[in-house]
Amino acid sequence: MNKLHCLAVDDEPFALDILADDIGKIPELTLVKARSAYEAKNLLEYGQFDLLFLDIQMPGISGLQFLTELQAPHWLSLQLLSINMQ
Amino acid sequence: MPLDRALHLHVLLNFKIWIHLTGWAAFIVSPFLFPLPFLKPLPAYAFQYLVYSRIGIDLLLMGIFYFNLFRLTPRLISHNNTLSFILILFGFLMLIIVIDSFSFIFLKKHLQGFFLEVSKIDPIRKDLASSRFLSPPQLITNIIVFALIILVSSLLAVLDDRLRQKAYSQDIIYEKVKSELAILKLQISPHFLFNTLNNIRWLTRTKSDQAEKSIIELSDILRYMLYQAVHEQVYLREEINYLTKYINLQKLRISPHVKIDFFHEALPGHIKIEPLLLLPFVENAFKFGIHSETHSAITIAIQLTDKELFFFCINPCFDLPSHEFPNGSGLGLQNVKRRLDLYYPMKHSLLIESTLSQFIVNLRITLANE
Repeated sequence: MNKLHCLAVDDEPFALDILADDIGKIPELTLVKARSAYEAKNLLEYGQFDLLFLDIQMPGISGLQFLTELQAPHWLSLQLLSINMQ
Repeated sequence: MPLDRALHLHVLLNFKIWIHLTGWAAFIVSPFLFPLPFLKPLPAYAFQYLVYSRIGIDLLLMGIFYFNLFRLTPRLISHNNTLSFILILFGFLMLIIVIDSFSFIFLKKHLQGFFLEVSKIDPIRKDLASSRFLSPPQLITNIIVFALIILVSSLLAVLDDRLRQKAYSQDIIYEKVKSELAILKLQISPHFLFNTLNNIRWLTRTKSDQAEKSIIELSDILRYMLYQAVHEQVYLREEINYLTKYINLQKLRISPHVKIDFFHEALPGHIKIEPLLLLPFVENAFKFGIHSETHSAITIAIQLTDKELFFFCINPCFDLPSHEFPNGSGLGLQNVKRRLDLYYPMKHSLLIESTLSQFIVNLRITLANE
């Protein structure tokens, strides 16, 4: 069975760690961590992701802004799960 | 406080009483300071009678003065009963005129002969000889004096009323500002609170020793905000303790390539300051001065010379959250500016330098010694 590739975006390192730890317990999921929306954008250019964990309140581009700027092809393959770490 | 009030009232009352007494003394004595020529040759008993009757009328006028000051005009102000006000005044005026005329006529009856003589010498004083009830000059004098009495007492009553209203609205403003300040003081950043809790959560999961320390620090910070900050002033040492704990908790989430320096020398234990004035700047520094990849350094310094406090904070300026602005127009900095103006008016200077790459805060406060 194909694994689902997840991308987690959050500026708080511990929040990412908690998520990574939780996702690590689910064998069907893999996780890549991004510390900012910029990083996430770069990663999306070169990788295929199925699930996006997105923090909304981040320095620089906010999560919502990041969403609106996503390219169309990515939308088709993306199931969105949004978590507000506040 | 009650003793102070009592003393002030005492002094104030005395002062006012003296003014009234002086005024009345002048009022009563003045007719006798200008000797009317025709009074000179009067027999002693007549002169005495004139003096007594004049003083009698004056006392009556005094009564009317205070009645108007404490009862009539205040009623007019609050109830707007113009008609009854005018009627009562008219009634008093008639009373004065009648009493004065009667007393003068009484005197004239006894001194008929004398007044006839005077009118022969001085035709202008002809009215003294006539047996008319109301003599025009006397009437006019009475009306003028009465009008003055009423005017002054009414003006005093209006002034009193204005002052009382002003004091009342000042009180309201004061209470409002006080409660505003109380609310401003208790603002803790929810973002920081929940982030810290989340960080502690991770520390507990990894069974880190740091977890317990962080929980204690967080609870200390909350306790400080809730209890100490409600008091008027706190010791500077306590405020610095609080900032240190805050910075420690922030350090949890910071990458190793961020350098944090907090300089504060040993401070005398008796210096006090308004609480939570410095935190917004420190918060800001951590909000905008951290970047996950780039190296950055935050420097905070507190120095005390004599009675002057110097607070210095410099941090790099990275991309800002899209919903906030630099240069202090955020809510936290607005609060601090307002509180600085309220607690240390003219006794502080706040310089914020915001360039593209750096954010510098220079704050100086002249602290009053306790």
